Amino acid sequence: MLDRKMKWYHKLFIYVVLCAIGFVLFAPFMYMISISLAGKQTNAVQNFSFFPKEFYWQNYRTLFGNMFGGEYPIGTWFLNTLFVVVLSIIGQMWSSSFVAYGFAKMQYKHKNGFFLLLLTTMMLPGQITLIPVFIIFRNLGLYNTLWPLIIPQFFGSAYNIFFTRQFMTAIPGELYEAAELDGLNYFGIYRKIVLPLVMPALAAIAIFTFNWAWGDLMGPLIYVSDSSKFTLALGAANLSAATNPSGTINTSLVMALSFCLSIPQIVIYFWGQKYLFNLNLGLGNSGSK
Amino acid sequence: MEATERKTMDERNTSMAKKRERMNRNWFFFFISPWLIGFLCLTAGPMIFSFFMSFTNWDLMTQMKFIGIQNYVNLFKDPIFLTSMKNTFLYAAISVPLNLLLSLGMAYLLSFHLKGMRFFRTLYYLPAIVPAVASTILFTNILATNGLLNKALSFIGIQGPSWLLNKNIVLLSFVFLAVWGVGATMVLLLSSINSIDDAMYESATLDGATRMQMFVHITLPQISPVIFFNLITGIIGSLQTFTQVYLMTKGGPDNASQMIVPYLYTNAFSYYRMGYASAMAWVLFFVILILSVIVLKSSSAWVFYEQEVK
Repeated sequence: MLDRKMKWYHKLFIYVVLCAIGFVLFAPFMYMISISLAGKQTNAVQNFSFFPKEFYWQNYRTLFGNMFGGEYPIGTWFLNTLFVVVLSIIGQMWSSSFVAYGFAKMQYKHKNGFFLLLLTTMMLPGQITLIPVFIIFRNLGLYNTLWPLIIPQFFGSAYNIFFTRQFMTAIPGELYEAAELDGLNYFGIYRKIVLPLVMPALAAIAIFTFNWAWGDLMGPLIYVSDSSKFTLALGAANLSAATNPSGTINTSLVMALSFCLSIPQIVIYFWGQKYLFNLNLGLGNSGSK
Repeated sequence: MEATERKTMDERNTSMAKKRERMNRNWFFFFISPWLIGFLCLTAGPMIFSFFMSFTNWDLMTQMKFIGIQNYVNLFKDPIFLTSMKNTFLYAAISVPLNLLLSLGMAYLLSFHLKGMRFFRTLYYLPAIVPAVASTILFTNILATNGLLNKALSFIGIQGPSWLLNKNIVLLSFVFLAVWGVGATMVLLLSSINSIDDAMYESATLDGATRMQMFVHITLPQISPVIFFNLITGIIGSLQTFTQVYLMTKGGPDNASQMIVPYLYTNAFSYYRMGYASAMAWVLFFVILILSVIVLKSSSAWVFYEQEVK
């Protein structure tokens, strides 16, 4: 926008509005921290203050007290989540780059037909395949394991393949020709030339996949039944349902866990910003600095 | 003599070309094989199976029995399903336009080149990166009878209602949650506003256009493709709401906040009514398809693309 001739009271007005919105959006975070630091008495009457008053750190100590046992083995849940997240990221990075290379650079007369099919699947709601895929994994004996959450990631997602293909088509053709003259076959070109070049796109995919796998509730809810197999998101959801104002699992404990669940995602966002915003695929800040 | 030689050369060339084409085809299928196998086993096959299942009464245990369109007939007689359809539409109809308007306003404010915009952009985006499970648990407490929202309301002298327990307003709880995550829509709009060529505003200023006129005649048309994208993804996303309902209200009180996907989940994975739930999934699919086509058809009237000469 053009705003060189803005009067000082215009600027002031904009800042006031910006701060007001910012306050409203930030208030829930403050409340979250405040609840997570509330004491037992406050929990019993369920009357939490906006600003933290009690600083009852014991809630966090209780939460991390018994990492691998008890009612809420959050260490186990964290390792389960990490297992799913890391393998999902590997699966998505590999499958999107591999399949995207086929669509970007291989020659086949019906290629566009296949590509159209890929794009069509982007519009299908997941609920259509939810039940049959559940039955398939159940019949494979993978119910109550984390594999049904991981295996599909190795077959690629239409969105990520499309995203990587757009990135690959921008690679200059001479690079491929030089590699072919060097006697590399297509697999060698993929591994030695294409893969390093599309790493920025794959980093973005890693971040998308992290966000999705870290917070997913429906998947673990359907496939996992033992507490020892829970992910953090499912564990938090279950604890929230078991909340009892004056019991061991009180609102403060659940809120402390929710806070811990949010932190990695926020950290990844700040750390990954440079990867996302440098892509210039309409995802980030093209103008404002 | 020469003619026959050329003929064999041509033959060799065509056979080489054919061999090359075959090899290229094999490489193509080699590379797309992960997706193709996934498509056949995890998308196309399951879709056919799901369609077939929606005409049976399968419950995972007993013999599958073909019952024709009975599931679909029952669906439209099921008061809970009809309520959840109504709730889902109502939620989408309120939250999607509201979210678009708010995110548009916020993106417009952030597009001014003032100091500290980076800070505000990050602050506004922060709620959008909180995992749905965490934000839903948080809002369950914010919307409690003496939660943060009612505390704020009592501050200005209003006695707030029990948001999660009142049948008439419980759907608004999800709207509050959706509005908190407005940053996700906002960043896309902001980057698209920022990519508008300044020269357009400059020439408009020379013509004596006001700020309001520039917003309506330059900014809005220029970012309409992104508004359209947000509208489509917003509609599809809100029709598939699950986590919020499952964690915040369980569809209650008295199904007043039940929605399609949580109800589908309950039927499939609590009652094991796989056939009935599959029929529900297909109804949802067609609802999404029809709404998407309507929005898509309408888009030619209000979405402005650069190529068009107007």
